[in-house]
Amino acid sequence: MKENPPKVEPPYENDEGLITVHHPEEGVTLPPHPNQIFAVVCFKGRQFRVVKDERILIENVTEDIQVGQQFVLNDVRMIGTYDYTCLGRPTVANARVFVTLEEKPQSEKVIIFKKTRRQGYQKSMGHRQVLSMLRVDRVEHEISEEGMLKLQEKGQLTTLQ
Amino acid sequence: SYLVKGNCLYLDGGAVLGGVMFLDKAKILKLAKGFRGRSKNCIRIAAPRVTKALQYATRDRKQKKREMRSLWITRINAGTREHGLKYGQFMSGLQQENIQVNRKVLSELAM
Repeated sequence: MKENPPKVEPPYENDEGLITVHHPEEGVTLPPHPNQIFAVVCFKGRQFRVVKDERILIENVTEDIQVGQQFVLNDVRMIGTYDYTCLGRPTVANARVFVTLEEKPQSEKVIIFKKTRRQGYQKSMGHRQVLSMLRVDRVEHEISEEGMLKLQEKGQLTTLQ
Repeated sequence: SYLVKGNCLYLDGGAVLGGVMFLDKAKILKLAKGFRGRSKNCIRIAAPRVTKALQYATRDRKQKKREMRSLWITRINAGTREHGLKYGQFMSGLQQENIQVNRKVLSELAM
């Protein structure tokens, strides 16, 4: 039986990521405009592509967080703006998403119905999941010109032709 | 003619149709909206169809996750082939670079 090849640990982890500049002639405006930046953020095992003022609906966050409280999501897998795209390996350092817990609605009722025919077995159950509605306040990527130049030296900056 | 009493359908002559219904008649007919022909209006035809529909719904809530992933893969494949790569090459490249963006988001970016 064939064995799987040994798993190789990647040499880099949670660093600045790979940056691709879209228009090298125009250059990159730093810091990027707050309305023109999107992030791919991972929260509770799911990933979302978020922009400012977008809403995320997920299963219940922890009970420590009150309604109306703002908190930070640090697990950002990708950042994109009009000028550049940054892919994290696996996450982008110095990038975060500020998010407010708006409300905690319940989902529509889902009926779980199980039946085995001709055996007299049938059962029915209803379920409403408590969800959290999060609103994205701000997407941040802290990078400066020196940072971009350092990445170019390391070989992590590319441009689109 | 029939009589719905409690949760059972009682027919003429004392027979009870189909065992015990777990919902009353109005709720069954509400769940039967959009069914074909008399299945949406007549309780004797709607009731077995509604139970089947609920079984399918319960099963398909699990299948939906599989089908969505398959759809995302198709979309990523289409997007990468426009740029000269195939899905397998693209994903193995991402694995080597330890980029962990999932397929749902990749398909959104591809569209």
